[in-house]
Amino acid sequence: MQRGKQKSIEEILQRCREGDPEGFRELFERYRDQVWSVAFHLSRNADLAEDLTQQVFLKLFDKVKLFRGQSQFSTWLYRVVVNAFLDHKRRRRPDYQLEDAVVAPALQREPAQERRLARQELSSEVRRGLLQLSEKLRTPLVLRYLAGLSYQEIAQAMDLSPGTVASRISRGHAKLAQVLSHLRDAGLED
Amino acid sequence: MLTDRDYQELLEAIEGELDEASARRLEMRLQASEELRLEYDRIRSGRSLMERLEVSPMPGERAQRVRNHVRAGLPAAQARSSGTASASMIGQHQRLASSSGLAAAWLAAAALIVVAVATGLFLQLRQPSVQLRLAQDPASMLERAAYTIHTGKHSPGPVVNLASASLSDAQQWISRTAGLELETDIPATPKNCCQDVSLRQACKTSVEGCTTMALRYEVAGHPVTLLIADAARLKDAPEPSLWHKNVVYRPAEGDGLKTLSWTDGGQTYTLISDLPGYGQQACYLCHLDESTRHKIENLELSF
Repeated sequence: MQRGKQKSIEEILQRCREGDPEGFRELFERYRDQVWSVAFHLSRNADLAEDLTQQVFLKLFDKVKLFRGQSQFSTWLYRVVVNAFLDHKRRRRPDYQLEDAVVAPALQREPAQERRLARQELSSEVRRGLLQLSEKLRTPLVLRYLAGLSYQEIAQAMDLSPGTVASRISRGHAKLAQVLSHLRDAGLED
Repeated sequence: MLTDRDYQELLEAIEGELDEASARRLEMRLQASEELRLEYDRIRSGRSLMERLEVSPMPGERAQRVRNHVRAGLPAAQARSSGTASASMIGQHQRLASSSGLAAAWLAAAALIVVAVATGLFLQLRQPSVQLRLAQDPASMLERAAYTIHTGKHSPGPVVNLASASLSDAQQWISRTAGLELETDIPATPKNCCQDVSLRQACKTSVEGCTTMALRYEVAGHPVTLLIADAARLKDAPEPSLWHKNVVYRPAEGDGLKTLSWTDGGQTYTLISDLPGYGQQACYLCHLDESTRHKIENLELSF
């Protein structure tokens, strides 16, 4: 994360600590997509991801005073997301079902639009592949690539050694390449 | 069989984290082992793919719901954690309540609320007229997606078979799965709501990052695809009108397909079919009443 951006987050956090609702609003708007995205890729379910996002922000507003800045705020935040997901798993509510399908339109595209759509299509394919991986391999990949955490930070969030995290990420890459071998064959990955 | 340590080392090599001696040793092992080489290639390839993964924005409808819940939960959370009324939204409201000139502000707010409620009731109770207009702009994102799905050029992933379902089943599924609503004037829909409409499939999809529900059905044997999306998430949704339902008609060239698109209640809808006329019979899904159907059948383009 950039230094300037971090400073600005610090300002928002300070406002939250002072109980300023505007600070909480800014915090929500800034992190909602990241929290949602991580929650969705961990849970593989949009309804559950919505619940988790809501829980995380409510918890965050309650606990933000406890964040003392020993780690990056994002690390702390994603740890809250992972914990909320793990808590949910322990309680295990059966009313959520896996669902997701992605389609992209293919008519009358402008060249710039074509490139953007191609990028989004590839991202959607990767998402689809990622969602097929086991939770053990998927979680560190999500935290690494969507949350932008280092191996050390993922290890802290998941209560694992950094070596185990690296090994799981490595295995996750290999498995993903197998699942998406059709992209490789079509030369779409590069 | 590769070990955890092997996988860790392969990743370190790809990320340039291996020291020179370890890199040389790995290079020799790679030359000797086909299994190791294969896995090395896969890890590199998977890593390159993961770098293409983008954060998926939270769908607008869901974001709004969470925002509302969080906002509603905020005062309580603050009151619990702050311990001082001045630090909470409740405290702010209390401070506001004690200020002079507040009575006038409250009266003005109350008057505004009365006007808003009256306007809302008026808009709800009146029968909206429909204005059908020929498309002038290039095809919208949702129209292009509808064409792609309808013509089978893209097969969305998991699909729910609705062949034996009722419209209310489909409505519930759409609402539960994508947070979108399918408005209908059909009361307590029976299993087969009407003889000339048969449900086929539903699927949750995504169009340029916007959660979209695709519903496929048939009207008098003609396949129809309906796409519903949160209007706020689409860059080129048709503009809604307060005074009438503003429906955009677009005939496609060559294949007899046509689309009807409109925005209403915060959602954008696109219907595509080869039904006669402007394809307006596709609207029969949600309109069982004979007089409404008669009006739909007799819709004319306005200029």
